[in-house]
Amino acid sequence: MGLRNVITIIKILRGAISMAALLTVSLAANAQMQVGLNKDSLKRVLSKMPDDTLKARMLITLGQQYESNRPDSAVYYYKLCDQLSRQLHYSFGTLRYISNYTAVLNVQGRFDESLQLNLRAVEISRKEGLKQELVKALMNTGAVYQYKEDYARAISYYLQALPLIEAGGSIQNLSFAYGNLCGLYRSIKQTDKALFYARLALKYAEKNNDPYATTAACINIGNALKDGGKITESINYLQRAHLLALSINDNNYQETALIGIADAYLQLKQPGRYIGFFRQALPLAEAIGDVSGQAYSLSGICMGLFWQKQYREAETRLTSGIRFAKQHDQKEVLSQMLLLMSDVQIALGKADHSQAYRSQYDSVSNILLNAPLLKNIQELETKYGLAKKQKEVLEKNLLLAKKEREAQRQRQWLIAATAGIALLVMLVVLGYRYYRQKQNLNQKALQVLKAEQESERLKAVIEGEQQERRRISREMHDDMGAGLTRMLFLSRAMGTQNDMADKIGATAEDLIKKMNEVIWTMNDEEDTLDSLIAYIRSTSAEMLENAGLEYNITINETKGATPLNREFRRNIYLAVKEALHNVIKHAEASGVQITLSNNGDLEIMVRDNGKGISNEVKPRIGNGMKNMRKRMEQLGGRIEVSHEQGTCIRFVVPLPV
Amino acid sequence: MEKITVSIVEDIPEIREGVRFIINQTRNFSCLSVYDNAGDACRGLLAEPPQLAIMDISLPDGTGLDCIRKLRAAGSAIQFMVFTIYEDSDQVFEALSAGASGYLLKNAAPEKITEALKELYDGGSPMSASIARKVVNSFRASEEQNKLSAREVEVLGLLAKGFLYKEIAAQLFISTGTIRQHIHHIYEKLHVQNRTEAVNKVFGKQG
Repeated sequence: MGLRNVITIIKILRGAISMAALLTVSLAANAQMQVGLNKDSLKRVLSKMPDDTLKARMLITLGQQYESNRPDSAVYYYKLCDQLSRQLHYSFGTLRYISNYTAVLNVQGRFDESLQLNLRAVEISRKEGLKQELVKALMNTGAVYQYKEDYARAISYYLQALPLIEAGGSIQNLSFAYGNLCGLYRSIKQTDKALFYARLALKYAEKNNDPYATTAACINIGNALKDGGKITESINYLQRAHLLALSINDNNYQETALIGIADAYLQLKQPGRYIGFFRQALPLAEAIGDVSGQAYSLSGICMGLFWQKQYREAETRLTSGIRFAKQHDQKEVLSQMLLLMSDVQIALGKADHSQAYRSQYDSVSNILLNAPLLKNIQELETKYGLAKKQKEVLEKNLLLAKKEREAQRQRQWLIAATAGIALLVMLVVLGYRYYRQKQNLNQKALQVLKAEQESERLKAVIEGEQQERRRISREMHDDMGAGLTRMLFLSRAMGTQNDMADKIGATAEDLIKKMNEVIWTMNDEEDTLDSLIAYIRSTSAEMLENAGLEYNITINETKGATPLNREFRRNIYLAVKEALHNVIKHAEASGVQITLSNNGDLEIMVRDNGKGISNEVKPRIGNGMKNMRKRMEQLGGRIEVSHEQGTCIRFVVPLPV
Repeated sequence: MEKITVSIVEDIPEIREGVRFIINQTRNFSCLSVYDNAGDACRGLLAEPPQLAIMDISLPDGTGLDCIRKLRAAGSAIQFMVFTIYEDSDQVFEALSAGASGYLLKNAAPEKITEALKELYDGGSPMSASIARKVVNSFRASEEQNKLSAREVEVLGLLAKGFLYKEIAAQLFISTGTIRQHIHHIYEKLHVQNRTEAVNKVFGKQG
């Protein structure tokens, strides 16, 4: 008889916890709950992130990884998110912190703290106009009131949320709302209605293909059926919930489903079955820190052992179970275990021990409820409360209808306002047209406008052509470059002993170098004197370095920003390159001095310490000389060649103005 | 000694195999994996990261730049080396901004390829005059965040004027190795600057 009482109380508690889990899931899923991620790699990523809103969201994700087995760590990361969001004035982050942290608080039974935070969330989301967040905050606040058994307030918050959800919320939220309504009706012992809402919740959860909501709904249906005495049917749903919870690897749901199943078998008086389910539930309850679940499971195991006549083991388990219940102030379970212990002691033939436990039981149950009289009073009070609550539900339904009427009125207002705005816009447009027409009458202005438009169009055409040319040349260079590189690697693959392959490779390499030069000339970003000088400087230094010649490059102050066109840059660069080529190939020099300066004209001097241009080499360098001369002529400049201890070539070119 | 692992992303088979051969011939280096497209490379390099990755720019299903950006955003610690034909193309600079720490010319001689890999592994990076000028402009355009050190500015200035590493080393009385390390740091600051800008662009609008 006593035990039934415990079961009832635990059932309410279990209901509460299953709802806590439902809340967590439903809310977190909205914000993309991702469990089963690698915590270490998350932490690594996190450590490299700057302190921004992305990091705040990441902290929540990391916390969620810990929620079902290390709630302390989860809370640590949620609080970090809170701090960061405060710094950044990031309300969305603060709301995420509240919804996730209060889920943990609810599981731990710290409802008052949870309530304060959720009320703050309602306020914030209202102020910031975050509709989805407001729905969550309202539902969460309702749920906390439900845990606190303040059903009137719970209903009032759900009713504030329902119109918002039905107007534009997700299927998921609907399933969530119906699930909580089921819990509410269970609390006021209206089994049929509870079952009705639980089935609705399941329908929407399945429609949304959401395993978390489906699990929660199955647990709710199972519990509602159990309330209605349909134990076997109830077990089917709870079994389904357990399998689902296993597949999504959620400890909370697994524990709730297992205790539900065990409780059902307990009602069917099948110790062979329920003892196993309680044993499975116990470690899970420990893992999620659910003290009442642990105590209840321990008590269930002992009960099973007693009925299976394993008195010795029952005694040992009860001893530790009683200690645990005392430690955690689980009075209901404690009194049951004391009573059971007294029975166990009789079975073991220790009448005096039995008597001692019996008197302990009496004192605990005296504290708990003062004899059947108190119980009757309580029952009467419950009945009175029930009637009152039913009345309240009715009143709230009326309120809902009233709100619907209000919403209707608001909609009408909105339509009227929209029509007004449309009229206003039309007037403005008409006014603008009238103004434009008047303006167009001014012939001269119109002509100017046309000319401007024409020039804009031309500019666009030219720009388009330039872009197209750039694109084609880039594509060509890319294709040619890729082909040449492939050739180079193919020739290398043919092996070093093959002379032809070497030559092909060298040719490809040379071509790629030339293509690089073309790319540089084509690049409009490189169209300054500075850029030209830097390019000449680095390529010359590299050439001479590779040839093993000493060199010295002097640059006298230049007007660096002077813009130069492609043609100019190309001709100058190639002329200098040709000159250096001659020195390396034919002059037999050991050192080169290059001097660049500009005093109105650009002057480049290449001086070597070689043997000078002999008659012997003259024909070989003749072509190169001709090229250099031609390039200088094209630019309106000149080339001067002198011989004194080697050769000195001087290019003098006027800079374009 | 543990070998330094390298992955290659390159769509032309001859080039890919040529580079793989060169790497496996080099002491202390081994080729961990090769990819011929951007999609596989993004997934593979994240799942099994090498220490260094040689990344071609144009791939059949995207660009190496996107690949580098994605992997960097996922927090990858791989050192990327852009594999390019043209040293002065805009894409090389973009890749360096996106998170690459160096580049490698496709027509470089095999021993140069080996040298470049060793250098990158030891924390050194190359930079041409035109890239140096782009880097200078990029830092000039940004706010004073992530300022360069005085030495880095000095090295960058000389590079932009076309000085070779050897010449800069002689002028500043430091080794060419030190110069390469300065450049490596400059690239890292460039990555940070780029990321900050990207983040500002995304979140600036909300504020």
